[in-house]
Amino acid sequence: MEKMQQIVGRARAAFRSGRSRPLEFRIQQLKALERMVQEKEKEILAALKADLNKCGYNAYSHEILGVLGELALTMEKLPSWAAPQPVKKNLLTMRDEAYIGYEPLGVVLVIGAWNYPFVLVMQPLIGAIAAGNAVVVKPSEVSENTARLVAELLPQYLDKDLYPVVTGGVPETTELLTQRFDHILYTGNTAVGKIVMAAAAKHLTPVTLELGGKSPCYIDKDCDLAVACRRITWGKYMNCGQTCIAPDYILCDPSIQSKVVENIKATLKEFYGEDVKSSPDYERIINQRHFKRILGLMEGQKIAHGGETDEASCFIAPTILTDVSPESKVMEEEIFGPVLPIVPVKSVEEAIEFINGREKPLALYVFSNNKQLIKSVISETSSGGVTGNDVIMHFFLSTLPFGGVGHSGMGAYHGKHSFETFSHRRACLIKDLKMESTNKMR
Amino acid sequence: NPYAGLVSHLRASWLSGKTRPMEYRVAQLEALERFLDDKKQQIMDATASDLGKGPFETELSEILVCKNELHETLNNLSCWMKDEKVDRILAMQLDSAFIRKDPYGVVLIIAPWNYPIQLFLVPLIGAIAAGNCVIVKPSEVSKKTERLVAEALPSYLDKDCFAVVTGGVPETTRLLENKFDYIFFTGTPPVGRIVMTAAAKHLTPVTLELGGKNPCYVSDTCDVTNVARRVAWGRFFNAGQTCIAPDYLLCTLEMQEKLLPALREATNYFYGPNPRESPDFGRIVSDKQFQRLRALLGSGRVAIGGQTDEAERYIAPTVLVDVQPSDPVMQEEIFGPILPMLIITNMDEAIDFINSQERPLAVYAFSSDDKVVNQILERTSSGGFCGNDTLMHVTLPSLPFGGIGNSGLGTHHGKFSFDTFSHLRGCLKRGMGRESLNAPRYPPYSQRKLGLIQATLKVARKSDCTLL
Repeated sequence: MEKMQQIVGRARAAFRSGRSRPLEFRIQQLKALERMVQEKEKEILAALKADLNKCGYNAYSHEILGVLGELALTMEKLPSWAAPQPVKKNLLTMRDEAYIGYEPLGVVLVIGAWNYPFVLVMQPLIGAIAAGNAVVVKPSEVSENTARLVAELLPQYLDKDLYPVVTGGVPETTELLTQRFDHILYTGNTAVGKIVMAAAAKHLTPVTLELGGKSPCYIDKDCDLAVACRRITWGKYMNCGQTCIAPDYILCDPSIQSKVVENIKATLKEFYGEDVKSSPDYERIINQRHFKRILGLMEGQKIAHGGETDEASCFIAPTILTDVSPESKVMEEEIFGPVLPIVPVKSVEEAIEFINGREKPLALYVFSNNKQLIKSVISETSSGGVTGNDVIMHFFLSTLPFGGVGHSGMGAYHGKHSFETFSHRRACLIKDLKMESTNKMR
Repeated sequence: NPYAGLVSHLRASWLSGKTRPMEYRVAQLEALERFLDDKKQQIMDATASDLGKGPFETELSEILVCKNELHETLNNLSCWMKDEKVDRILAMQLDSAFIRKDPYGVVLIIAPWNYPIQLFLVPLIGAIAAGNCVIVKPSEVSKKTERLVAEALPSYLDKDCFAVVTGGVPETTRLLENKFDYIFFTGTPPVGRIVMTAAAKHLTPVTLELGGKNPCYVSDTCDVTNVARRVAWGRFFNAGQTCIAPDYLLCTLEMQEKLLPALREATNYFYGPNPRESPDFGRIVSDKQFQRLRALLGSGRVAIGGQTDEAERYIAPTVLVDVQPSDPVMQEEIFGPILPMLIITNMDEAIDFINSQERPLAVYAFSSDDKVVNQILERTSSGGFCGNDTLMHVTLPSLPFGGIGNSGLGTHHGKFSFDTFSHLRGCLKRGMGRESLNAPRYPPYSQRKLGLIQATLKVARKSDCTLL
């Protein structure tokens, strides 16, 4: 395995050559990525199946469709995003040219995660290429099939020096992080996020950290419970709960708790049939370590539904816990699994206080027919993003910046926000060498 | 931790929602303007004492700049605070999608000594406008100003939400152990690293306004008199203690011969034959900085100025020639009234030299030929750029002010301040009805469902549904 210093050095030399800057080059690389996704669809889906037991349709709609959409959007909009932006001038600068220029940062590092291993490497890559940078891609070693595939495919379609793929685990990533980058986008957990930012601090490298947390889901008494529960069930159990913006836990009045359980149970049957384990649409936990971790979270809890597991296949059935105590283990860490605790609260005020007493989450969900209540919950809390009366969906609108706040992260991307994250906005003022008389005043 | 109580008090205030209403923020901002008006004389006295800054420079760089930011902010606050609607895809046409501007919570602003009012007040305006609680840590090096701010500022602002903390390195280190929701630091790159490392422990986002050596390229085709004036002005303002001052000059030997007399004349015109007697020329802030700068006078040869007075911490407006890239004056940001001139044979050489150094806060290029100015702009990288003048790009609040690489990360000024201190929160509000439209996304999955999803969620090339 080539030394990190050489790989990054080559990427920097390639960036310095200037060839990643012309728009035509960037679009050509993006087109090549598009071809790659279209031509290698089978291989990509096979890797996702091997890593997460994700079925074809699911993998396609969650990982490939999004990537193709982002590519199409970026290729179309790039000329307008990259164009210098004239700004409002004052009296003194009336005759001058004043604008914001969008320039590449240099060499960007993208560190992917294992839960949506393809899209979480591709979407940042698309933005970084679009902004004219060289990009070092480090897919997660935990989703090893996808990592191997990305390492094989990218060099076949993209400029090898500008966009190298680095594989490996903690030691390789640690060594990579000693190198100097001009921006690092990391997707993963809070603990490692701190390590990445500390490493970046040594080089004064700006970072975008897409982390996680416990995304709360408040269900108001006044709402269509059947619809709410169907939507929540979809978002919670997709990818076997291994989604950074999955509704982590539910807050609701004790009087509707059993109805919530009934509705989710009914929906689960609708989605996965009587025998979840044999449904082709239900995924598995990524590995033994996480399997054991999630098992531990269920200990001592009141299981209202589910709870079945099979260690050999890393299967955990869709599970609901009721009357969960805020102090219990399952309420201490991000669950990242198909276990849904319900914490009873007596009022929306109590729910807001509960949410605000904890770290700021990546997403916040609130279900209610009362528009005013939804407004209050949003305005009195803080979170990366919000979807009201549904879950997950704000992720799919690329005009919304996608990112966290506090322990759930910093910075954002998707769509134009990716382009801006990976660009330097350079303030430019071009004056005339004449007109010196106005300067006499100073 | 001695500051833990203060930080948690401010955090409690923030959680109470006190700082959210626009009226509250406007009241605090208006109080800041009163502070500037009421304490104008004290500000003049303090900056004169700390930096030998004359009333003209103080009025311009400490009072006027802040008032402009205040007015720009007050004029636009309601607009900036509004939820920003965003374009929606087909599947979300009936939903409400917008970006909310949420305050972060408790913000820490660490300010330097060179523009001791401006460099805490301008970020403070942004932090308050965005609805945060703020702790201000002014520089202990500009002692009189520090005392003025610590004594006078708190009585203008809500003490539950805003505080001033004083002290040096040990105090700042302890302060940084606390969890903040945003840290805004202006200072040197080494301390920037320390601040970011401390911030990483709490995953606190930062804006770092740092520095570097801002190159100033002067081509052979230019109006020498105007160039000399603009460069001298930018270099010697505040006795050179300006993060965006032109740090060193790059030109041909020919141009140097023309520039030197022009620079001499400009300096004479600005400050008279003996700048030490001019009320318009500042002093170095401390003995430590004075010693550092005096040592740099040994690089190359003094062509203009070079006089010093230790008691007054006076260093004359100085130009050095015969300077080599390896000389001490070229190893660090000068931050004083010394302008080294480096000889290059052509523009390409100048560009190569600039690109061999760390990326600076500003790049300056002077030429009557537009193409030359554009070449320097396009082939270098820096926080900001100004063609045919110095410093001026930061006087436009519509331009973002910030560095890149070693010169910093993040931006502020005008709306950029407001955005810097706001968490931009993506929000999607859907209705509970039309559940049938969601059917394709639910298991059991099928090819048919996939086709439907593709139709509603996709963004096609050359699509017509995402613009305006």
